[in-house]
Amino acid sequence: MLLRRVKQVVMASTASDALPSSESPALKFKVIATQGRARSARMTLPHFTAHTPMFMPVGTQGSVKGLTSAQLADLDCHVILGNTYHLENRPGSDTVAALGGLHGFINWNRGMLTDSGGFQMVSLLHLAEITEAGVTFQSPLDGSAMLLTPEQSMAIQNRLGADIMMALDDVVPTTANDPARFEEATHRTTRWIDRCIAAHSRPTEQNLFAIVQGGLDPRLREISMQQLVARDLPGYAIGGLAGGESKDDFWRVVAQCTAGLPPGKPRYVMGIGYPLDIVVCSALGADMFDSVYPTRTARFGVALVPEGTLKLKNAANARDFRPLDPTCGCSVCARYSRAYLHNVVTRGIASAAILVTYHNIAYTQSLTRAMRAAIEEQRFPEWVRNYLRTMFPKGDVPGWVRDAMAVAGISLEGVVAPGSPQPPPAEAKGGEGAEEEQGMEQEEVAPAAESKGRQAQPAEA
Amino acid sequence: MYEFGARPCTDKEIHVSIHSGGHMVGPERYMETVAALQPDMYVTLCDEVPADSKPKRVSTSVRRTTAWLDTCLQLHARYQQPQPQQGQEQQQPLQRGQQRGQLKAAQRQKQRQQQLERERERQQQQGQQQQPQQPQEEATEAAATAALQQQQQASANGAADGVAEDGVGEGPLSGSLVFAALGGGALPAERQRAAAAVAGKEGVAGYALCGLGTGESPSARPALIAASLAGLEASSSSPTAPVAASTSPASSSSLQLLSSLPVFAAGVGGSPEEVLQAVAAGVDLLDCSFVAQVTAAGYALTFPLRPPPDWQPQTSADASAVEAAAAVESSSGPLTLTSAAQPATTASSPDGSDETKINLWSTSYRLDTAPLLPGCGCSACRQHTRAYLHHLLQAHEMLADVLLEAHNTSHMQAFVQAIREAIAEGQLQRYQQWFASLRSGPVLPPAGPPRKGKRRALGPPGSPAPSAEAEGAVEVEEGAGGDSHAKGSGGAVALGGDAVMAEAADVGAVAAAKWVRV
Repeated sequence: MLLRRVKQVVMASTASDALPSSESPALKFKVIATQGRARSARMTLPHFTAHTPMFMPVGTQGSVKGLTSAQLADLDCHVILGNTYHLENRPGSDTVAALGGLHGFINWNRGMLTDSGGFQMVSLLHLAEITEAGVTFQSPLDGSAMLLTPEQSMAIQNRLGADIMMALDDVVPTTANDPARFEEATHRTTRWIDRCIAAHSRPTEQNLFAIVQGGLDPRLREISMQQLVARDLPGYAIGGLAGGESKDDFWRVVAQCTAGLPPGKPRYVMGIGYPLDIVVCSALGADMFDSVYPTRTARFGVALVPEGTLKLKNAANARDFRPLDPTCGCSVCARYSRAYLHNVVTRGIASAAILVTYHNIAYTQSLTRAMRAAIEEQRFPEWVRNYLRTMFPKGDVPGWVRDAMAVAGISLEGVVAPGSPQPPPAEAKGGEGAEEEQGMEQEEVAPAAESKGRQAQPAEA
Repeated sequence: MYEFGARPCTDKEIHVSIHSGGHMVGPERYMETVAALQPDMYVTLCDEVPADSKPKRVSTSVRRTTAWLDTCLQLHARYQQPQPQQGQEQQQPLQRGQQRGQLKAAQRQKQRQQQLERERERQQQQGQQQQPQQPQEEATEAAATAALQQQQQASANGAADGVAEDGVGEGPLSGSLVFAALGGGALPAERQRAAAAVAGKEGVAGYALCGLGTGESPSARPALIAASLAGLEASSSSPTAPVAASTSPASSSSLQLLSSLPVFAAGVGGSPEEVLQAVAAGVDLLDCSFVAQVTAAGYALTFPLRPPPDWQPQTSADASAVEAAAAVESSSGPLTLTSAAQPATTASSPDGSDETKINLWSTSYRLDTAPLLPGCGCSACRQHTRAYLHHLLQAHEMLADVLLEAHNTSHMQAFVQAIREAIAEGQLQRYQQWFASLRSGPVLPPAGPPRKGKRRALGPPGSPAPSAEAEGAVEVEEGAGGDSHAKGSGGAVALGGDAVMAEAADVGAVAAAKWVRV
């Protein structure tokens, strides 16, 4: 059954009657072009029609680190994220509701997505535990025992009013070595989706997305997908990844899930922000991505460029008068040189972070825009080859990317140096490396996450 | 120049302290740096001394500064010619203007292209609804684009060929205006002498009053400024300077002298009152540390910019307050303290807000959907609410500083615009009296535990390093918002607070918290 679905997707043509689409009470999804497994689509939400594949910057506490709503619109962002846990903490979802929902509160009139709050709690708080009732934790303000249930997560998100809300799921970090726990989490996620659906009070104004779990076990992932798809939700996320697993495992789960989820509905891979990962997942049929990576790495002085990353603190940039990326049209690249940015970044001037953040978001948006255009113009494989050639000029494309592209049906001829040795599977070229910034789901929040610095989020349940 | 460990200045060089440490800088090195920066205007090298310096020190500083002016003017002439290229640079930095022209042209083209792409995408998406209007929009858009592209081509070519005003063949300081540094500390006689020594020198395009805002009383400043201006007029070789009636009717016999060249004063912008006072005394250009100070403490400026049309001075106290502040001369010495310029400390509410500014840390703004200042046209007021700003501050989001700085800068710009209008209408004195009647309190630092782990760029020399504890922190008043926070979620004050701005509370530090002047 899985194989048949894969074949269907691979053989989809661009004839409009064959293109998948769906209509839900608060969402319309329409694929307008496909090539291989990749698709370019339009997702009509209550506040905005977004174009996919798309990258969604994270505005954890109601602000994408230093950028105004107007700048985010200039940068062509279609959907941004708010983190439920942080916003409920401060200023509180009641306050946000009184001020016009998240849209009115921050004055953003495009798409908004809120997560369930569960993941932040588990990763940010001591002694957070998942039980059948929900996520128990100690209030950071007074230490009292608190419980976040699926019902409460829905109530909070209903008050925040985002176009898309995420179900409360039981997410186990992929690095856990506990098959029984993954099994339990898979089934609990299903039980919780039913509770979420029942508690969701605004189904015609907000879209509840379910989150596929199952760790790295294909059997559990299949079960999760079948059970969630049976609930006929407007969209589905692939969760539980970006948590420290190897890239080989990662892409396989994505490939399985994009093949197994309904083609007419949006597919959201949570926590993906490395440009290379975005490209690979899009090639495999994913539509939506979010991560703090582009904005967080900017605050460490790292700029995203077609070749990979540019570490502005590096002294080599001190006399380099070129812009960050000569092909980028953003106003930071139009006005400032690497030398200038090196200067302000190394001196710790606060606005330096904003400049690099601005460019990094411009980069992710231009990347996804280019992918959409390439799919629509039926030249996506060539686009991917160019992209990989720029990032890996010596042809040392990582093994996992090669394997994933093979499954995606994209030939890497002319990109991969013939006979080049397979690099070790865990390397992710073009990013910061597996030990840094993998699995980030939320932005820094003073003072809680400050001390975590550049480490990956701790992977404890 | 005031901090512990600074080396003494000599006849040859001054001591400068920057992020890379202390440096001894003489006129040659100074002018080399200025030439590298290619500013539109700059101040010549000055041996600046604080207001409490002894007369002998002051007179030495005047002598040095005058001598250095001559050297700087000579070097300025030399830097009018293109310089031989130094060493083998990877990239030759382009001449001023050329580089800017090219970058701007490239930027405009790219942005225009991107905008067109996105317009096309958007128009596709909007489809039928926009159909009737589309042809018209596209036609005008196309025409505008064509015109713009022609313009860009012209300017790009012009800039590339060096035919534009700053093309190839011009020196680094060609077109830069030299502002002669006028010192003299806090001694009117010295200031006059220093100005007289410099008046009428060829090549000087303006004057910079140095050494103000270094600890003298604000009420003494007008006398010091006037002394410098008098020195400029006193020299027989100076061009006839325009004169203006004194702003205080009581001393109509003494005419206030104005310079015919622009006058810049740094360090006198610590508050709107000081700005107004300096302008009334004849200053044309000022920097203003006030914006950064109030922004850092989470305030939005809300003071009205124009008096009500029917406003009249209420009491003689108003008139005399302004007169004392704007006195041309003070018989008992330069450091006379008067009560006129002291801010009223009872004007603030407990959360630090008053008639002239609001403190967005206060929980009273939690649900306030008004803009920072109703009626203000700045981007922050047009797009966001007090409630959002309050939240951003409490959440320690960078965007709070961005928005507050935008508003506060915009408000101060509107303020000086109002001053210009008052001068044009001959109403400056009335404006000063009205402004002095506004009740204003000190800027309070926000309460709460110190922020850990954030690097902050250090301020100019003399300002204290950010301290770990908030000194004299004022508790932010908990509003009526005890309601929805019963569960402990969204508690505003406990997680808030930012004590890095302790220096804002230290009034003495305000004087030192100014730009390093070159």
